[in-house]
Amino acid sequence: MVVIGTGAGGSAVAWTLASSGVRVLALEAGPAYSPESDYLLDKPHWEKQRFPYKPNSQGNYRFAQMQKLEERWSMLRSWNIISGQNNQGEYRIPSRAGYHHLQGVGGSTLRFTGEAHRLHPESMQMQSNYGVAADWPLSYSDLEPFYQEAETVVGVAGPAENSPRWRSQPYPLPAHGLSKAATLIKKTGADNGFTWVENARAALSMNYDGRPACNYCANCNRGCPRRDKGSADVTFIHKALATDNLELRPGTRVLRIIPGTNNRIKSIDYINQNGDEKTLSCDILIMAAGAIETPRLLLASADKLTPNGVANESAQVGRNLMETLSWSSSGIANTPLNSFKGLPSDSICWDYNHPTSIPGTIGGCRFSLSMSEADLVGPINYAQRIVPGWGTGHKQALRKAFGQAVTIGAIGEFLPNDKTYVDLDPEEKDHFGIPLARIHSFLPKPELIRLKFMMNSCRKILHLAGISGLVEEYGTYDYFSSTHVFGGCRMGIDPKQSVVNGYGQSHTWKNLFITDASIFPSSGGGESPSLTIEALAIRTGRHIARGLGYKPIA
Amino acid sequence: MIRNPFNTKLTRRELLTLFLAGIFPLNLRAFTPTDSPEYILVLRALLDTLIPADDITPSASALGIHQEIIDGTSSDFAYDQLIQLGCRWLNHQSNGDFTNLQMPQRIQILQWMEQADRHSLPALFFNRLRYEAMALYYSQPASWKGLGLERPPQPLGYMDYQS
Ligand SMILES: Cc1cc2nc3c(=O)[nH]c(=O)nc-3n(C[C@H](O)[C@H](O)[C@H](O)COP(=O)(O)OP(=O)(O)OC[C@H]3O[C@@H](n4cnc5c(N)ncnc54)[C@H](O)[C@@H]3O)c2cc1C
Ligand code: SF4
Repeated sequence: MVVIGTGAGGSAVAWTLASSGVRVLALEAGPAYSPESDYLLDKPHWEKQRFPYKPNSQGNYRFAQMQKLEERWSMLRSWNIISGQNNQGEYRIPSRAGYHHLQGVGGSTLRFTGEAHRLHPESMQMQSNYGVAADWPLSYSDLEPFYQEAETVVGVAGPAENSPRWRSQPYPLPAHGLSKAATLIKKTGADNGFTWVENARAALSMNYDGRPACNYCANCNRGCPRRDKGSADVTFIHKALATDNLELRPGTRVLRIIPGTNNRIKSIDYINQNGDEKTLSCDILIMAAGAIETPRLLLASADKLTPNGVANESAQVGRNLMETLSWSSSGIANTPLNSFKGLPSDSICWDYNHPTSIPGTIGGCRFSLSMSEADLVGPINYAQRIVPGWGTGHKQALRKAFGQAVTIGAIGEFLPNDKTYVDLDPEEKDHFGIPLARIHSFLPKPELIRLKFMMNSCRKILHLAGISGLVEEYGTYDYFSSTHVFGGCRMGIDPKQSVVNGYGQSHTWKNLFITDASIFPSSGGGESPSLTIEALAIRTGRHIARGLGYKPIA
Repeated sequence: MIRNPFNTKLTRRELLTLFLAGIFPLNLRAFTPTDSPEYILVLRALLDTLIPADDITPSASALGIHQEIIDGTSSDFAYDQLIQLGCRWLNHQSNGDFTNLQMPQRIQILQWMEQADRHSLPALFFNRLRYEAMALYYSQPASWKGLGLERPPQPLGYMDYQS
């Protein structure tokens, strides 16, 4: 059993299989991270780097020309109090990070904030109910036990009340206490249309499963050195290795998938840690290289048997890509909040998460406190970005402002459209001669209406909290900047409209499964995806193990 | 969502503009290395205008920021050239030597640079230096006095986050 990639999806399926007694080999392109020594949060220069990237921890990809920016949507352009309008051009462009991801054991979860959300059940039936996107070939009820299992492995801390995402059992851990900034925002209140609750977080509110509780350092996106953040390396991978059934090979990049006869994948080619190219035959191949690299690998594996790429019989591989539709508004409160302390994104507002809750467009969104995601948790970013000036006046202003930045972030549904997809770049190749993925992205009007609602609401929340002076706003109208990327290998019932079935199994290639974010048929209304990826991967793992005659080991 | 709105590196377009305007030298050998006193002293003076000492925290140069900036140029040709050109430009605006100016005059020049067209040499130089200097200065604990920040986030975290 071979798993490609050890991010949210690859690690969860590897754990499920390994803990069922199946021998698993996991090939990971990126390096392994050691939380205690690789993360920099105990160093004086901790803030200088957003994340300690190691060699090969970033993939290589390209963007196709993006859309022209229009005057009528100019209110959605990103700006900053010091630099002015950020994107001065006429076209939408990728941000510096573009597709935010990490290659490494644990994948992008090493960098993630750790919000641990279940999808709104209505977000899984977008085609039947609203005529957009596609239906999931399984229901919330089908997924619920696997959500529970994923939450237990990760150690999710969450609040007692969470309807309409009904639960069969409470969260494994109680919710975290709110920070001062969250308490301030909570006062904006349900009466004004914003009900704030504790966010469900993959961060331990108590010691759990041999890992210590969070100490509220506010820097999950720089890598958690305590191992309390539930990234895939310290949870699923750690547990899978403990079974002795997982062989993990970091620094090992899969180059292509070789189809065989009888609708079965025969083998894969990969580059090992020494740089040698090898071939490995596989009984079952599970792909979990992420929503950009999985479609790329399938498309780049075209050969005589599969001229359009593997599993691309219906020309669906790469289509239906969905990106992060996001907005954030940052302001400076006029009371001390110590907003550089606490658990990132500790509170959330779900009031507009239902697919019909935003006027004039289908698809919801959510709001959360986002100083960490906006990187306003240390003096460098305050000094560089939100406290204008220099000289002695700047020093004084910084001392006054520090700890008072409040960012409201919004993430919204992204409906699939024909102009948003991944294909292979016709010219650019990697070191091994494999064409790079090329991301095409387009924001149609429904997305822009949603984004405008998100912008207005973020501003309103700050205003209601008494924060009037905005210092920065950033959105994905003028930048492609995606932390949550899904689709590209959609799951569904109809092989003509999808790549895999509800168990992530290719409609054509019987021993090929996919367990990463690429299989999502719709994005949800701003929910963070890892927990859903993990739940789906556990479900697939159980299905495979059952098929092979294995049972979960108690 | 993570981002940094500042583009602190010279873009291709900006480099080209500087080349076309004849600001970038064609004969690089005619240039003095950036770590020569000529540049170091100007850079120091500039950085201490951007980040002077006050009664709580030291100046940029007291924390060695000028040297760190010069060290950073060794692997970045465009940055190295920007610093050389910027320092020469400052001297040119100062009748030969920026370091001879009194603080109010230095401040006046920096204010002008800050307002200049964002693709011009003075603005590119000012914005890049401000950006880099703030990063280097505020990564030193000696600069944190008065902020309510006593130590890096770990290993102790902020257990008092609710107060
Ligand atoms: C800054 C940031 C913040 C985020 N915050 C949250 C959050 O709070 N909550 C949440 O739920 N989600 C969050 N996310 C998103 C979340 O991390 C991703 O959605 C999730 O990790 C995707 O899982 P995946 O398995 O699809 O891919 P990934 O986790 O990206 O894993 C893919 C893995 O495959 C490997 N790989 C790729 N190609 C190959 C190859 N050819 N051979 C071998 N290996 C290969 C990669 O190296 C990588 O390790 C965040 C992401 C980022 C970047
Ligand atoms: S806030 Fe908590 S979970 Fe996040 S990095 Fe710090 S200690 Fe880890």
